[in-house]
Amino acid sequence: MDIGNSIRLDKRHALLLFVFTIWAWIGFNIYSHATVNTIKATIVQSMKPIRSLDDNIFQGKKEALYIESLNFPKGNKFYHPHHGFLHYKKNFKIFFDTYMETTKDQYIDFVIYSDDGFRLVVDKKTVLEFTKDRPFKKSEKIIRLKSGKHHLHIKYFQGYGQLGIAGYYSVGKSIQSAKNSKKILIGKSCDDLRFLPLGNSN
Amino acid sequence: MTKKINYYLVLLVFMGFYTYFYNYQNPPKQIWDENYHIASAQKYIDHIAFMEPHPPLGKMLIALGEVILHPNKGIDKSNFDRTDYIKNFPKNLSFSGYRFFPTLFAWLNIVLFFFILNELVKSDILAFLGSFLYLFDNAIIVHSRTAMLEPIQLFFIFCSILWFVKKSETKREWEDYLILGIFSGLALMVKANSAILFLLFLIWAFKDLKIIELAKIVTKSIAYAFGVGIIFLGVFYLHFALGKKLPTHKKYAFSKEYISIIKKNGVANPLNFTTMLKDNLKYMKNYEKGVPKLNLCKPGENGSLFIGWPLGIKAINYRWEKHGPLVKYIYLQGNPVTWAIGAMASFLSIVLIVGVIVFNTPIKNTRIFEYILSFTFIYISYMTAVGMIPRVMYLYHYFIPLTISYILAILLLYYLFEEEIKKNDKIVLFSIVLIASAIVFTWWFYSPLSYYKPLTLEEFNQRIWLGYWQLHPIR
Repeated sequence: MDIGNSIRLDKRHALLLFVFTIWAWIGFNIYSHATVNTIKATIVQSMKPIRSLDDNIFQGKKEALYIESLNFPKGNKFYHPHHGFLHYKKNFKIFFDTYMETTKDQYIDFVIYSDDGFRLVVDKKTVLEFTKDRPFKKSEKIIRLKSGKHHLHIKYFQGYGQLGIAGYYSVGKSIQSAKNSKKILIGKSCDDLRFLPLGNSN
Repeated sequence: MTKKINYYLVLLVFMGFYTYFYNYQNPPKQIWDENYHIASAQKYIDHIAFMEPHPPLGKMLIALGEVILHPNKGIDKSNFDRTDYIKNFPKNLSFSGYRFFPTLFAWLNIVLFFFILNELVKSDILAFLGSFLYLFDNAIIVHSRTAMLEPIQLFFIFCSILWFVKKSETKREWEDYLILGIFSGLALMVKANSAILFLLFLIWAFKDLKIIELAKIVTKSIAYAFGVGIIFLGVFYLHFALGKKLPTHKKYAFSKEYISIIKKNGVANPLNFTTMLKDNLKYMKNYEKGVPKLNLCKPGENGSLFIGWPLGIKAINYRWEKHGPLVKYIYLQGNPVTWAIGAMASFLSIVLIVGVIVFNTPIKNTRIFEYILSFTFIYISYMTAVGMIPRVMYLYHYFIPLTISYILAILLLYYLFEEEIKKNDKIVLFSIVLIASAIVFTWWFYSPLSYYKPLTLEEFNQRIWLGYWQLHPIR
């Protein structure tokens, strides 16, 4: 195959292309699996049953986990794509804390799927909550956020049975555009909203 | 040997020292099946009679390393003789003796692999860079730096393949068949799945049938069988002769006659050989029946289906150690680049063969094509055979076809670019060097999982390129 008058492509170039593909594959894998942790998750196991979000905890094991997205899919086991199976099944709470920064005033659409309940708090103001047990269901609320740094706190509880929590957001200049924009996992930054990296790691 | 080959060999041996041999005694903790193998090896040292599911040669060599280096003087290892599975190893036990021969053989395998490739493609630079496929394969490295059987088995397999290749284009005499039989017998006496080497004999015999009369084939077959047989009998004789005392923890399949032979100190008497062999073979047969089947629904199942092996399914966490946020691992995880090359090579070899047979594609180089055909035949035969075994199998059971797929990769490369390689074409050589550097880079990237180096959770996650490998971090 000739390109212009000078370069003649043959099987040697196919080999070279194969080699570059290998290197591109290596590079892509390393880049795409590098994570920036933006959320601190404090998990507290209760020694006694929990049936609603604000039930007292009789504290057992407690641990802090640093994650890059609020993404614990629905299932029989508590699982995070980057952390694997976490050995919590029932009667525990998780406190998620993260900081986000916006450069201009804008609307944010928060969507939380959870089994069981949760409460989403921005700068100490409750935005969205479902405090009882439920199957994996959606809750949604749009708020207006001023430019600057904001603290986002989510409290989640699991009583018994199936479990999971996943949180998304989208940004827009108006309520409608925020609602219709592409949903992004909480913890992952976009052009209009940045989650600040945590200093610690696991 | 030319001067150039010598340089390449020195370089390979030097690099192999670092990838395979250096610091092999660490961690001084049990890894994977060492509980079994060291328990058996110690029984040879202490002359305790026992029976084994595996043929005896590998365990004998593991024991020989301990005898030669004897790093555990003054440490009480008597409990190894009272069990087939060591639960607690004594504190300060050194593994340098038990791991010595497997690691040494794994190191020497680099030289054999280079000679195999050089014999096949007659290009020292291609053989040198092709040897990187073995030299920097993290999975083979991990498994070989332990008191395990596979590195010893691979050594004798490589000896067999080298001899097969060396004598393939000459007029073969019965002595050549005998030597092939001896090498195959040695491999077979380490692990039974070396029986695949029988195909090397079949390929020779098939080729010879075209040019010589049947009577000579019979003589050569007898020579081959004699070679295998003499090793089989010799190794088992040694196994019996070393077992002078009765074990206290287990009866194995010792018959009354065998027990009486031990009591009368007659284990080295060749007249008692058949009685002892019969009991041993009976034990081996019964043991295999008791090995669990693969259960993919079982939580923590380490076994895997043969069909997934070329893709690296599934990695096995041999051991780990947590220190705060850092975790050290010994993980059976292949080098993604070498494994991908191996998988592609075996697939493309099949495509090439089908092309020639079904679509009459012209053969560029008959000699190389015949080798591709032979090694693909061995690859497919092995995979078909293991596919019919119901017992649980693990990723390292793929090492034999994996190394064959590496040979196929070099054969294919030579088949496609023979003229360019001979002319030292810059683009082709540059591409080969880039592939070799990709192999070295990914070996380095995955090396913490091979050499027990600490990783954070994020660093571990960076290495989970494909979910189906089933690399799981410890939290």
